[in-house]
Amino acid sequence: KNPQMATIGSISAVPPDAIFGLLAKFKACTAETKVNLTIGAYRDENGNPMVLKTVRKAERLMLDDASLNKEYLPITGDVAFVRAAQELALTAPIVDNLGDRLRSVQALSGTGALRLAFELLRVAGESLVLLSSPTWGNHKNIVKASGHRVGSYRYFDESSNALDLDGMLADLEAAPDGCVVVLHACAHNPTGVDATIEQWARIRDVLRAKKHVALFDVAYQGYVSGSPELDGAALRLFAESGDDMIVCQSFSKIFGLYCERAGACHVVMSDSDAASGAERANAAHTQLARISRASFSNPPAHGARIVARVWNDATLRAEWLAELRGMAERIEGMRKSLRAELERIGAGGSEHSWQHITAQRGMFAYTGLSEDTVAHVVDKHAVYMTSAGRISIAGLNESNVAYVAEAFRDALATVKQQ
Amino acid sequence: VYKRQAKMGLGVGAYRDDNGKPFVLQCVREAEKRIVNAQLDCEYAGIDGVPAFREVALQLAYGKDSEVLASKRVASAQSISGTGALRVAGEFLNRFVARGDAKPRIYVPSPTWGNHMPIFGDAGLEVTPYRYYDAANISLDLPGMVADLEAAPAGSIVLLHACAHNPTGVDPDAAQWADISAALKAKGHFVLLDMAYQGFASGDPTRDATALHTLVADGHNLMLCQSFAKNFGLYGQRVGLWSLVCRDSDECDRVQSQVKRLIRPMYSNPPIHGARVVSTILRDPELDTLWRQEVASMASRIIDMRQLLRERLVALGSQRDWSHIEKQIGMFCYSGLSAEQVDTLRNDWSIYMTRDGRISMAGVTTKNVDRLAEGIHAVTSSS
Repeated sequence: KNPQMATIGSISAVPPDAIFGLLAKFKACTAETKVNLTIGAYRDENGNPMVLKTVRKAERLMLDDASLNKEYLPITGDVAFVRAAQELALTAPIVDNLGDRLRSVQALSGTGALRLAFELLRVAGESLVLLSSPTWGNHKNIVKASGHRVGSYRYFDESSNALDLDGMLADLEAAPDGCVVVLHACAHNPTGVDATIEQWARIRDVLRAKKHVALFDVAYQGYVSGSPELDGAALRLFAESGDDMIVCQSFSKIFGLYCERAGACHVVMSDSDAASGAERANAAHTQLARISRASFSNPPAHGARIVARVWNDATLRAEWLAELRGMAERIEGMRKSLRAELERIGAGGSEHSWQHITAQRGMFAYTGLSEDTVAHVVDKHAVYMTSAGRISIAGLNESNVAYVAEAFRDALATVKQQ
Repeated sequence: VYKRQAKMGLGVGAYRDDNGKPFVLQCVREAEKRIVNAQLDCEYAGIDGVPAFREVALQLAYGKDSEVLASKRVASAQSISGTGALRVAGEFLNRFVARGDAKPRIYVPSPTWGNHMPIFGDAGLEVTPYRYYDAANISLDLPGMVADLEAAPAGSIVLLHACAHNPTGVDPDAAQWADISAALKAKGHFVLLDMAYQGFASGDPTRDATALHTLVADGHNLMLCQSFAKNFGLYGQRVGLWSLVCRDSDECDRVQSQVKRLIRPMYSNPPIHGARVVSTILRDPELDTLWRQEVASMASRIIDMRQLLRERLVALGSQRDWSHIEKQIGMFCYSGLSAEQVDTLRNDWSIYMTRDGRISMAGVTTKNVDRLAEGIHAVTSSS
């Protein structure tokens, strides 16, 4: 009688998301020793989730702050947070120089910022969006859900485990004019391979020549060098180039605020024939507000307030920067440990180079292990990693690094290598 | 003299205490203290949110002993408050709805909340109004509503407000809900229920869920959007729940997997803090009792203001029938003022309301009700 019931009744099940599926498998695994190197969340030296001390301090201050209430934030977000996000991404002097050519809104972490950006771009019509090969798994979902077409550009060179710049530039040049190019500002996910500043300048030149729009995904600013300012070099280069740019920013990893969904979407607009950069940025801002209103009305206050409080207090900001540096240093230390151990036990044979483990930066390493080798690592040793060979360095610590290295050695020795 | 007075804002639907100040519930403050002291982690919630929250939110809506919950046939996902739940609903319906038209269509009451159309429009749905509010009589146009529901193609998607209709404050009574349910059933329509004011309308959360319970008992496998903004005063924390009553637990599991697939490219997973607050409160007998007292007191303050406003208007000698002020329920009063009268109130009295004459009663206090009554009387007695 009710056609809707019949339609809903015919809905088929979606297979579980690959990463979450791995996590479920890990949780169900009863092996005596098991190591989770899948999910992209920081773990401390004991393998435990970590809430930053600065965040705990800020939360307690907020609890005691009688001036705070639970009212709606503005549609475009907490004003202090948005300003803090701008300064973090670009530094205060550049933010001031850009003036009204830079406009920003609070977003539901990185995913939300990307979705807002692609919905904004959709206002002008369907675009061809070029994603790095490989890239974060959710990028193509967001692009498609926003009504754009997905393309790709070469990025990771498997033979050298490094950036394939020539391939990347060739693909960007071969694409039609006016694409949207998704770039990882630093700590590329999943490969950990980043361009140098000289390479970024060449990338920028190609984008400019092809009238492509640069769309930066910045989720790990500070995780590479330990300094957000150093890690933001590519963002600053593009921002000062005088071209259009979009920046989608996440505070999940850098503040350990995964659960509170703090993020921002920044738009930098240049002057065009028809309108000034300020006018174009303002138009974009009103569109972002409209899109936000129809998506979630106004963003969540809690995470944004924490960030703003920390950023705007000199002592708290310094403490946060120190904690961020601590996380980055522990990750860098584990890279060194893993590489040293792999070399010590001769994993992959004496000819096998593990140089990429320390050359790659950020939360992830692309190990270069084949799918079959990975399957052995997972099934026989209960070391969980993605089938593409990505491991979360954050999941390593001094207690498990030897075990992981041995798992790799055994798998490489056992599974027929191509 | 009123022109020079401070602006009296009766536009935004956020509760104010009798001093016109934003109100943070005591149970919320207590819950937050416990949460901070518990030093919980800040890991990602699942795509569909905090399970402990979802469980109590479903129980609050459908009833602890409800058959649909016992049968594990309600799919649910934590959402970005009511707006987020409605957007998930719209996206879900767009993807899975039976298509007669080229574009899926949703029928909404006339008038309805101003943001319904942008939400459903952006989700890819056509929005068509059905008669709801009878302006001449300041009441529900039931015959018009039923006629429009009967005229809609079989299996249409119909949006209803569970209680405290926004903007009119006009709700069907029990007999009218029975007629509406029958009309929906006769055409096999699909029900999308927007419940943003559970507890806030009458003061009793169970009573405010009567329409929901009636529809579920009548066999409607409906979709529900819950907001916790008003009834927990958690506006900026963005706490909500989307749910769908399915035929059985197998369909529920399949639907659950699909709604997660929709949410992942929207925002991956929802913010936790507000959900933890609600879950903490509803799971603790003392806090739950405190919450019920606080939501009852918010509702009763508004009911008191309705009474006071009407009394003042009568006392000023107004000849108009203002009974609707007290008959209407929830945060808003559809005053019956014209756009021009609203403009005059703004320009001459510094009293601000939306141009459809909607007054947020939550903004009325014992300190400002006289000014409001005088203003309304002034602009209505001159016409």
